[in-house]
Amino acid sequence: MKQTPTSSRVSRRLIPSARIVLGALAFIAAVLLVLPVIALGARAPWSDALARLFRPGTLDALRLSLVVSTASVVLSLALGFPIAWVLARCTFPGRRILRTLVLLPMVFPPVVGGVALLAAFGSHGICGSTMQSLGIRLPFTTAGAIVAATFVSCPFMILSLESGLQSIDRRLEDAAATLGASDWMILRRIVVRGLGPALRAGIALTWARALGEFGATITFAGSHPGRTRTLPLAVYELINVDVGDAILLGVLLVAFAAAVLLALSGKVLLR
Amino acid sequence: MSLDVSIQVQRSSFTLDTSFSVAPGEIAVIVGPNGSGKSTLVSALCGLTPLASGTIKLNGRTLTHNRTTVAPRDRRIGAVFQDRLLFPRMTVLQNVAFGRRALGDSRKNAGRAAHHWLERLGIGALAARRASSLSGGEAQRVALARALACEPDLLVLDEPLSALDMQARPELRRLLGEILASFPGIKLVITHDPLEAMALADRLLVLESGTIAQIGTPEAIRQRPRGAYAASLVGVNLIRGVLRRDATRSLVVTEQGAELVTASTDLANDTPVFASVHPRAILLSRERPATSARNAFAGSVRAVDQLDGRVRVLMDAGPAWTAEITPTAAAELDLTLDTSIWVSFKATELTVYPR
Repeated sequence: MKQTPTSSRVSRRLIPSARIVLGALAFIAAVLLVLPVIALGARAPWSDALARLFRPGTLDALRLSLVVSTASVVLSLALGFPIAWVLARCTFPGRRILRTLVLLPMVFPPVVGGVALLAAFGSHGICGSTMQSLGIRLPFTTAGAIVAATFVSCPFMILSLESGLQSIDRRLEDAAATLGASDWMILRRIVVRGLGPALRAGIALTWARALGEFGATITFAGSHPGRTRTLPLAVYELINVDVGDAILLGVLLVAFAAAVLLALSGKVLLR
Repeated sequence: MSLDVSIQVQRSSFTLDTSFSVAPGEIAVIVGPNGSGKSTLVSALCGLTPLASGTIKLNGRTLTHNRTTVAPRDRRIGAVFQDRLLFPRMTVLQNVAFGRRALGDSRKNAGRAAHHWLERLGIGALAARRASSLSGGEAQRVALARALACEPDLLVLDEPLSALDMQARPELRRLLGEILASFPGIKLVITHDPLEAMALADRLLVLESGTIAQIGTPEAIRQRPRGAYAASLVGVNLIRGVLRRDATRSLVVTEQGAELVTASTDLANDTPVFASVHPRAILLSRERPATSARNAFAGSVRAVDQLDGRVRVLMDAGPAWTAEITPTAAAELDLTLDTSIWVSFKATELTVYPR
């Protein structure tokens, strides 16, 4: 009966030993999560940072990362919205199975995702030969890198948009219909606008996931400078060549991702 | 030029089965308790709920005939929904201009029309506000402006005042009266509030558990309510019975066998009748009344309510009775729950009319 007041009192008045344990664990967690980021900044070769950054390979990787991550956000939006809409608005047998299947790449080991993409669209894959005869080649191309990034990041878009769609009051759409709005106008002005924060969160999460994508890309698209070697791949290649460069690129990647996340969805993700 | 409705709508728990017409110029008010099917009716009129069968015609245009139906956006019905349903992410101006834009107006013309209606409703200053930031009264006006801006053939107002606090109501009721008076199309107001219904209606349609129980002017319904809800609407005691006459007197006999004496009537013997008594015509006493009142029943008090300077007493005395007495009289009678009480009234106070 008195659960609520009791439990709220407990949370504020923990016995000292519990406080000490929780406090210590929180400290360890903070060290584990934050220290590497600080170390990255501390160990970066700041003195000749600009010279290192302006090497051709580095700039290529940066440009490629922007192209690939942005393209996969656009692709995820174009493909993810219809799926999210079907999942949120339609009832049909197998809806839950479809939902599980399209969200699966989120929990896939990315390398397995890359192997799966090869099995589907590789030159010996089930669609590969057909696509090749049509002149479409995905493996080891920039298009392939975009497909790999979209494959792993699109589920984040679907998940955000689906919950966004579910939170829109359907009766607003009814009201718009009685005011003479066509289906497209309702979709544009009520649904898409109503998505607001969910759309921003979806873009931010998808973009961040695509920017950091490594496993599926290197498996499916390889690591070709200027074609498929995005920033994370470049960092990986550089570790054995020049640790300073690798760290500097890492800092760049982190700073970049943090800036975009803050700009896009500071209110949503960092409440 | 009229609205002609004859529809059946099947919902999981009940059926709406109703027919009525609304002529231009008149304000038709559908009044009914919660769960009587009011919202289902609005939804069916707007084309948002499919009919099981039936026809809806607006100005000669068939909107729905059984399963064939005109899409909501082509119906030219301006609905102000109970929850207003303003578009929360748009400004007030965008909300009101929405319908004009949907009908193909340019941004400029739609904005001009929206401004016109905002001024008409006295809320021109709100144009740039977010719809989600409005008070209840403001939101209601915006919803009204949004519906009117489309110049619909039929204006449907679902509970236009019930979401407002008491202070905001008189002002909006006055405005609503003005707007309805000048609106050229068909007007239909839906409400559960008897006062609102009586105040606005040229014609009342009493909706009870999915069917229209009674249609008439407020005056006609006030004089001859035909059902429990209509009776509570106009605040009278209503008894169902059968008329029994003999040479000396006329009686209304209820199903439970209670006998009520009425003044002479020209209805035939055995006519099923309603009999009504106004609560203020009922006298209460602790002892058997020694007055000339021909009707007297012993019973006990079930509830006592204070109401606008009067005291309403609900009693169980054969039929259930409601009486309205002065606070002084109530104090003298010293009424509490289960007090034994005599209900009496004159035969001439009993209005009898056929069922």
